[in-house]
Amino acid sequence: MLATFKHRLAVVIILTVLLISLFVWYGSLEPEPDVHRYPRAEDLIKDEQKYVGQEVEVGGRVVSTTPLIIEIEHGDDTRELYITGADEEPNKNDRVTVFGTLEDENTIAASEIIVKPFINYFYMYAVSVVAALWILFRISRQFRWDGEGKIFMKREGPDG
Amino acid sequence: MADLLTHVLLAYSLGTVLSWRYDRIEKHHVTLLMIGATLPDLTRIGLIIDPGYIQGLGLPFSYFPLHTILGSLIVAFIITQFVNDELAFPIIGAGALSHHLLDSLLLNASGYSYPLFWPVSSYSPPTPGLYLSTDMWPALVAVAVSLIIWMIDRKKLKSELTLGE
Repeated sequence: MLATFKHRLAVVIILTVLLISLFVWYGSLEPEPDVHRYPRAEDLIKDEQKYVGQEVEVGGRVVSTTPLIIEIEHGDDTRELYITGADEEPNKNDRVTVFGTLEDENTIAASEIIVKPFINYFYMYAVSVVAALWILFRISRQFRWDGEGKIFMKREGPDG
Repeated sequence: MADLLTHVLLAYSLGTVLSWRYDRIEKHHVTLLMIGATLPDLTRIGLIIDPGYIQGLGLPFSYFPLHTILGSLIVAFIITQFVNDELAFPIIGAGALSHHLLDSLLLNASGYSYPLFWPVSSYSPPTPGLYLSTDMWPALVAVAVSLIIWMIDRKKLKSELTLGE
């Protein structure tokens, strides 16, 4: 811990700038299949022609089961893709991740498909909220905010 | 990413067991470990501020660096600036590493994990694909293990109090 609030604030600002630089840097990277960074939904939405014939890994929501069609999204943009060769049978609204070859700009020949049922997605977010509340409860019992030092201190007592 | 509850329960179990072994690790350190275990999932901020909107402003952008070892250690160090405890950084950092360990075992469609060492290396290790982030059984196992550890911890605490009287 650094001695003064000003010093600590300077560290926070420098590290936040570093973090944002990393966000921009990673966002500027092109897909690189050699290191298993395959084109994803946002790449296909930006330029679907560019990746035809290449292996892609995309996640999306099932909008039709026969034929299997998924909707991929990026920001406000969405696109629908046909999935062929899937050995799983997802239900409508399930989330799927597909790895396969982009045969044409609208079709992926799947070599692997992972199905995440809609209800499991709901479960995942519900238990994550439970986890967050548990941590907040423990923080309130074990720490106190020292307004003068602008820092969290251990709360003395059996819970600390 | 495994669900957040599984990560937090693993951190609780790990921290509690470490507190048995090392006197310097107290209950509030277990909480710091649990906080660390959530940090890589700060990428979920994308559910609130979609990176697509930021890219729409003409800036290449991705939250993924938060889900790398370097990114989560940077966030751990930022948090450390607001916690008056000399063990805060190593403990919050260890929590973040436990998150990466669990997530590197997740099932991925490509068979490979994620570039957790980026920007030092773009290498994504192959994943054994033990579970999905939406599977329920990892949390059930973690709840069972944590309950056992919690009961042992209470028993130890009671016996220490009895000895102290």
